[in-house]
Amino acid sequence: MTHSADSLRLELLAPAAAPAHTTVAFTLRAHNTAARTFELYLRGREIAFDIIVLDAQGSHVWRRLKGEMIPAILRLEPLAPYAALELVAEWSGGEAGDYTAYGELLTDGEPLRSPPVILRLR
Amino acid sequence: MTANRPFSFLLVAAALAMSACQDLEQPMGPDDPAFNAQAGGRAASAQDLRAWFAMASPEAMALPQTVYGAVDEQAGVLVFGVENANAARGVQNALLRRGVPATAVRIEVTEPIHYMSTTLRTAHRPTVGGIQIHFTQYVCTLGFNVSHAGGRSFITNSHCTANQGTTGSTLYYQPSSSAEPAHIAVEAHDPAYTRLSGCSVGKQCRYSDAARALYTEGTSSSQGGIAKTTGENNGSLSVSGAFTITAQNNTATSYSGTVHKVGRTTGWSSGNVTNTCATVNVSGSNIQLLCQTIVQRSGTVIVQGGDSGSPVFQRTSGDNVTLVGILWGGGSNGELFVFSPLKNIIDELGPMTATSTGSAPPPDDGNGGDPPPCRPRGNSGNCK
Repeated sequence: MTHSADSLRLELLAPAAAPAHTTVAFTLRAHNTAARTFELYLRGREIAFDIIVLDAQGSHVWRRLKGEMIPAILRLEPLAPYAALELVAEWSGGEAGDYTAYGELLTDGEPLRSPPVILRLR
Repeated sequence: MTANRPFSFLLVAAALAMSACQDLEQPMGPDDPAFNAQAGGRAASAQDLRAWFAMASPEAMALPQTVYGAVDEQAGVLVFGVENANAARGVQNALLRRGVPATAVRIEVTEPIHYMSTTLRTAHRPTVGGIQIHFTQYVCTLGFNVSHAGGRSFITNSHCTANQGTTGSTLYYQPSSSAEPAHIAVEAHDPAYTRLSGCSVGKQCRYSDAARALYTEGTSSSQGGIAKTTGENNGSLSVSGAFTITAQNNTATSYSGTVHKVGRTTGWSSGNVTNTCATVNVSGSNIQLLCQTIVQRSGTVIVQGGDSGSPVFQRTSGDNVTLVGILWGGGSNGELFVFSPLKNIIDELGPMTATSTGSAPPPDDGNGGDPPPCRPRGNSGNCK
């Protein structure tokens, strides 16, 4: 990725609460906050992104890319000034309780990670 | 977050340490014959300096361990940088022989200027395996060079073509179109994914994720060469030598022990074979690859985005290696990669020779592009 990472904001969008045992939609959003193009270097022909859901004890409950074999190609994805890239995933849901989730964009180095969000299933 | 710049291709960087400055000569005074003869007893003018430099610098700069030469008009001297005091004497004598007064010369001891080390992401001519290639908006790794009935070629992944599973006319650049605007090769063969025997419902299959690209006439390539970085599993991208493909395994689909790869993102890495002849679904697609080999190294990142196409090999002795396949992907944590065995590649792309001493293989028997005649089942067994 070029430019200062400060101009890229990665966030995971999820409902604050949802019914237990129902599908939960996540959106991983990469937003270029700068007035110039931000070039992302992302793994995969189709962009490889992960969503990780942890239970209240910090144990992994769901990981989108678990067990997946991902092509090791690198994709150059220019992000126009102030533009956003949105990637959507669905989790089949779980028991009632509090969960923490975060998203990752795979690159040619350390993954880009979003801040965690809290999700309550009831 | 890290800022990766795969298109930063600095070819030269001067590690110039001008601070270690040391005058080594005894200045000559106005009584010195050379001084008076050339400068007429006056301070050297800029014109004198330029004339002396033009006259004497070719000889001085040809001497061993001479680093640089320049005119310092402000100080009124010629400046020469040398690697050590021994070299200074030679420069001084050369200048005196050309009639340059010693008072008009300053010799400094300095560090030698090095080219920045070549990396897997810089330009390589001739090309070798393990280096970066670029096409459309993607970056991959050049697998290995081959002699093929279709011409001098390299092998990379099928998914490292503009249209996977269709022979198109993808243009390849090395290291990138921005760094080297002339393409080095054109896609020549990328067989279709089809409903092979053993292919799961809803999937399109092949036995290898491999495609062939034909070199352009003006691009030199080194058959048998794979770039070697400065260390194994240390993430280094600096090229310090080369592996030589002295053998290629055209028959096995089952491997054991340690295998190695070199790729533009994670460099030279190795791991242990954990599964052979495995059926593998490709994430984000309906593609299924049959009879693949899985390699793992816990706690070490051995694959990342950009390593697609990496040559996979076993070391035999020293830097001599046996080519066994081509890497195409791996897990999200980078501790596991999967490769297509060379036998499957040959079955689909036709006979090829990748060894350093090998000559062109016999013409394709027409089997290239067809499914392999042998379809091993389970987790064992070579095709026979």
